[in-house]
Amino acid sequence: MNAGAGFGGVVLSALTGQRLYGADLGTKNPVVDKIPHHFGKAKNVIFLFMEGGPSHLDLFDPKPLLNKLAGKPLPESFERPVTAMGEAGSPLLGSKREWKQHGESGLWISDWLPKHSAIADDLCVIRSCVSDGINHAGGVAQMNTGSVFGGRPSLGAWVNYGMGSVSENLPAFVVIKDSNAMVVNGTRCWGSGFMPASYQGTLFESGTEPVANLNLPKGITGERQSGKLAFLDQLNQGHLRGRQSNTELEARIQSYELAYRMQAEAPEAIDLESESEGMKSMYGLDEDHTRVFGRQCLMARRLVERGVRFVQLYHGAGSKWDSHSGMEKNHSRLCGNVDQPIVGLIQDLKQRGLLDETLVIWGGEFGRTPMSEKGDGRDHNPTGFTMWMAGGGVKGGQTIGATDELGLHATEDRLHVHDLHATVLDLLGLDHSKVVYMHKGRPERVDLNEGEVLKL
Amino acid sequence: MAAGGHEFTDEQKAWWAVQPVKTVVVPEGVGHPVDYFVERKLEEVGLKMAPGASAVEFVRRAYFDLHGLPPTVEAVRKFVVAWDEDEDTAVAGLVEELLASPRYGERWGQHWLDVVRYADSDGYRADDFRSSAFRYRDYVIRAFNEDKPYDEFVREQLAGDEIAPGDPMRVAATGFLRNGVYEWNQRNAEMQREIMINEITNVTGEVFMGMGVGCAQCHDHKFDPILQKDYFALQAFLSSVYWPDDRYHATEEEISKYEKDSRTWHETTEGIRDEMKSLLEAGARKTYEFRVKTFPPEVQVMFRKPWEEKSAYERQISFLVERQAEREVRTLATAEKILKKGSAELQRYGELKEKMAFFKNLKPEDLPKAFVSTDTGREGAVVRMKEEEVSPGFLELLGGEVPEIEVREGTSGRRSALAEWLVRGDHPTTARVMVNRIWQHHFGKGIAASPNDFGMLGEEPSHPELLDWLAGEFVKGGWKMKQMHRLIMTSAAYRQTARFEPSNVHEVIDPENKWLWRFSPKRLSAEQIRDAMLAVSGELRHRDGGAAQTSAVPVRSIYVKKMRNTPDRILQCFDSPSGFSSEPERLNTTTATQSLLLANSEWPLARARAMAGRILGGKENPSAEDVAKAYRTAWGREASDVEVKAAVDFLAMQKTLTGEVLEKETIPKMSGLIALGDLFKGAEPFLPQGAKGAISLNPGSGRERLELPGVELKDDHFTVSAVARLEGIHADARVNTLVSQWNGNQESSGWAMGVTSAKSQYSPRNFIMQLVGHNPDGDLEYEVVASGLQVPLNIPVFMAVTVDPQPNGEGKVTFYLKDLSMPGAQMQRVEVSHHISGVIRSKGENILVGGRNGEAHLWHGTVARLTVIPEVLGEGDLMKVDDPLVDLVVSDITKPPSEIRWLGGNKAPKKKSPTREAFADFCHALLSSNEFLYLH
Repeated sequence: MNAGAGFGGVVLSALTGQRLYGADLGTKNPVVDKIPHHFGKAKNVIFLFMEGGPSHLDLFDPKPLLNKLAGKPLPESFERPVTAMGEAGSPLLGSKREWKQHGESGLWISDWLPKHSAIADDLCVIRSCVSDGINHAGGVAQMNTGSVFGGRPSLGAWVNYGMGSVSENLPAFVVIKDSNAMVVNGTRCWGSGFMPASYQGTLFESGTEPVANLNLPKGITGERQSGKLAFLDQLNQGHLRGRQSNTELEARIQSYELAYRMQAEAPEAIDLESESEGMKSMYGLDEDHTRVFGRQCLMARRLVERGVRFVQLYHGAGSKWDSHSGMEKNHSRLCGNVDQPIVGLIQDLKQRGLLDETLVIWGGEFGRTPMSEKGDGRDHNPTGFTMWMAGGGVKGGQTIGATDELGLHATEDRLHVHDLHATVLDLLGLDHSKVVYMHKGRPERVDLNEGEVLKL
Repeated sequence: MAAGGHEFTDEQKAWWAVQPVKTVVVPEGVGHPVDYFVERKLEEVGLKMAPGASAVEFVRRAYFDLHGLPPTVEAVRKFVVAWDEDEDTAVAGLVEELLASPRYGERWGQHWLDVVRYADSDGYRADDFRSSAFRYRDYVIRAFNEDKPYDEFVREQLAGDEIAPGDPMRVAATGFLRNGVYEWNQRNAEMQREIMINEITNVTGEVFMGMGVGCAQCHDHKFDPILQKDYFALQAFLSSVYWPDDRYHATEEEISKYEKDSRTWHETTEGIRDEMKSLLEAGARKTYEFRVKTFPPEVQVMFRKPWEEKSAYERQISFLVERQAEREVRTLATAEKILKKGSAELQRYGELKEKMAFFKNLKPEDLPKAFVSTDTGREGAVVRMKEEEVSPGFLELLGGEVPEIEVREGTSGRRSALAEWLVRGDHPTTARVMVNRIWQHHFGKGIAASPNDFGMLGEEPSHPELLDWLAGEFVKGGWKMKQMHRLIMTSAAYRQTARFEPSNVHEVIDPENKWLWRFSPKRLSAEQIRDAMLAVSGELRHRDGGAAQTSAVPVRSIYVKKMRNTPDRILQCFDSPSGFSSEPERLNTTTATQSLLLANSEWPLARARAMAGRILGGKENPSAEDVAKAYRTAWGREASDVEVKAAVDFLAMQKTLTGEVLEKETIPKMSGLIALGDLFKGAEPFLPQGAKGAISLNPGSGRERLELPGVELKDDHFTVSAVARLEGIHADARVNTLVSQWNGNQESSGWAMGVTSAKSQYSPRNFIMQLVGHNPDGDLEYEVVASGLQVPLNIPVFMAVTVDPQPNGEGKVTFYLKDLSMPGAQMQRVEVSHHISGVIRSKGENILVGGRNGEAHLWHGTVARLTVIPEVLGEGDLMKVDDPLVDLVVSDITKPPSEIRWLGGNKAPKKKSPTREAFADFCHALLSSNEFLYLH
């Protein structure tokens, strides 16, 4: 297994014993002999990250008591959390949503996501998610890397490390944002932490240069660049003679080939022009308010088809789902942006037979409090919130876990972010306790040794 | 045996890392002691050393190892001459010379900064810039250059405030304790304190003890004999630390001199300052209180206790609360935000400010801020493990000895006690850890393979006797690091060649070169790559420390601002660590991303052009000697005739490719006008019916800037909008100016609307407005108003600003930005306040499009429409252009609009010389080549 193959580069890692030096200097990385690839249905992951924290109380987790107690303070019987904005003492804010059960399974979804009715039987809604980050930075960092501080590899990097790459010419882990705004914490959300950079996510941007430095320098033609690279190759081939034992030299020569192939393939992979009109409207590309996220979802499907292992789509990059005030307006708009595209994605994956092998994950870094903030908003709630999964062998149409009667704390089947990450690996057929990376002499795991798999 | 009664197994007690350092005697007459150990091991396994490196190979290795820079052509020549005379003398002389240069500290300081997770920003969301953190970085560089004994280096970093409170240079070392990340708005102050103290404990264990103690935070270490109790006993030494923000990087004399010098100013302005303060007091208090009240109730209780009654723990918590409340007051409780617009108070405040400005000459320059740590007081903060109090103590396995702690003035004295224990000479890991790090950075890997964790899980040291001998020499020699370099670099083991290919025997016995049968090839590190490119291009500027710089400034990479969330692209790409945790080793990746960066990004190309210019001077046609010189400069060796000929052939071919290309590429059309075509797809709602084309502005093409003769905005309240595409940004910090009415001088009124470039301190592609006008005090002031909106590349956008200055300095610029390629995209709107109150209009300047006065700050892209309206329009009215001063649209692409004139007339575009460009391409290939990037 050559875990460093493909876009991320020809890292001839310790796995092959060919590397000169690397992450762990001589310590063999146990990943090869320790992963007993049990049967996992999912091969790919599409993570729909609603950045800023969508309100579970208004989307997937109805709480009749909340409306009954609206305007009153949090009853004494509920453990009072430390809230980001310190308004734990504010009165409870009722939900204005209309709730119905959908699909054959009778899944509860609010009227903010009306189109989701069509995919209700595909969703496995987990109402008992728990995180440690009360602020966006910590929350987003943990949801991505398991830790509230930076420095650890992201989930996509772990999957990339554990599964290897299929595509030769595309990154195994691609990130697409919905605007120019940066995701909280910047690029380390999809970083590889202490692992080699070849496992990190690659940000695809809209426009003519989807990947940084993909285009030739300004004013330099392909001919001129080819001439230069041919000469560089000549220099490097000359240098390689008598140094063949240094496999990095050959790897670097090859990495120019890869870069070249990528220049051709990456723009094609996200060019939606070849898609039919029907397909475009399925994803909502024909409507203003759904076009942006619809494009992201359609790109995600195209990337997965081309062998990209892990696609992460940010909606509301830069904490746009954050709704400390004016939640009605904020969530109405954002839900409207994603409703059709998500439905289109799930249905399209299904009709192509890709849903079984593609795990789709939806959620933010936390949910929102039952207590109000600034009158008509809600604060961050990491102690109980909802995420859902679909496809990838997950049984749809079920609800897992529960929060208390006000949706403040998870009470049944608590699923900490570490458990969530362990579960994702499990669905991919990887044993989270055995996908280990040696760093500074210590065996590191995606879940900081704390996760447990939830069987879905 | 153990004091706490814990029974360790025999295996645990035999852990190599905790055995006393053995006194190893090297027999007389065996030659270089290092080789004595290395050769014995090689002999045991049936291998032997490779031949020695050539002079040229050795001098390059030594320079990169000790300076992180390539030797100059002259340095190579000099060394070769000395080598031919006597190799040993030449080597010893070179090592001496390199160690004496300040470049040495800049290289070895970097290794240390990796280990102590140094960065210039907080991390987390705000990622605030730590403007004084560089004091610690400079301390480290200086310590290496001065050959500060390592024991003193350890003492100062752990307890410089306790052992030398009066010496700012030594107290600066305590920056070590505050290099960790910090979250600016964490309301769970107790958790935050715990996180910070744990982080300091873990780093201390890894950096100085070579032990990954972090595992023992939650349970006894699973692999090593480190108990959970050991963890908290170690933490108890460090648990009282906090990060004061009110200290100066100055001696007592300097502080009292400052106080004395500013006395007159103090006395003269006291009344004014008191009145200003009283005007803001209520608002500031409210802001402060609001923030305090958002902390959990129990935290507020601690915070409100009288200072003397607070425990050390409560003081730490209070500092965390105070830090946030004060940040809030600083940013939110300003006169402009607190006092009502047009109120008598605000007017009074303005008058007082004016008075203050009058006295500013009386005030001496502010003292520099320190970046240090200390305890909250004499009392130590209590550490508990499962409710039980744990006192400071040393590892149980080492006997669990009880430390002697001498309480200091203002500190608990605990950290000095820890430092003394670490450096007392018989500590089993302190010296081993450091000599192992030194060895590691010379040979690519340590004698003990995991430099931050000598744990039982890792491999045993490859040469345990050598490690102990080096550790012994280190301590005996007064903990001097330079002496270790001398010892190592003069050995035959270090002087082997890397140009030795393994045979089958090597492949079978030792494929990883653990026994050192050759010198292991190395790739240059991120900093070495950037620094080496700047060195050979002749651009590198040396400095003696100082504030962090953007990477556009050609200083060494150790001085480049290290922001945790937005790392420098080049350094990150080549595996520089992000500064979140202690990183003892660099990763070493080979990726397509690196190839793309080397081949396509502007930065290496610019270095190549500079290198070409340096070699060619004013010459048009490169000679074979120029080619040879380029090889020599980049690779540090003489090129063969075959290599020179290959390059000469390349130049002959390449110049035919560059010449034509430039002309075709950089000048879209001589008229500068192009059809709208697909370029502005989606922009229709923002263009009038008759719009047919756009103006192409292309730096270097001669079609760069145009003026609107006679068009002069005479108002300070206005709206500028454009439908445009940004097609490239400057690789440095210049502004991509779209439209301006300004001579570019910060002493003259004017304005310019533009977008920042790659190295801007405002982050790249930031939509900005530069204003020069009067502030409320009537002084001319230059202000950059940055929107934070990022303008996308190669996408049509609608961009607009409204400028609305107010006499009280409470004006604001409203920015609008909309991506026109995606019809669903929102109009982004941002209001940014500024202090300029008026007189922005310049006299006698015309409106310029594509730049401002001068040729530096050019726009690269296309403009389909540009309007200037002498009033402030609202969001809904931005397109209602009833009575514009300017509404520039191209309705006929064969004819420029009548109101414009290209600046510089119809000057022919500057052609880049094809031969010089070809030579730059040759240099670019050299700088991207494996021979440049690898020491092999």
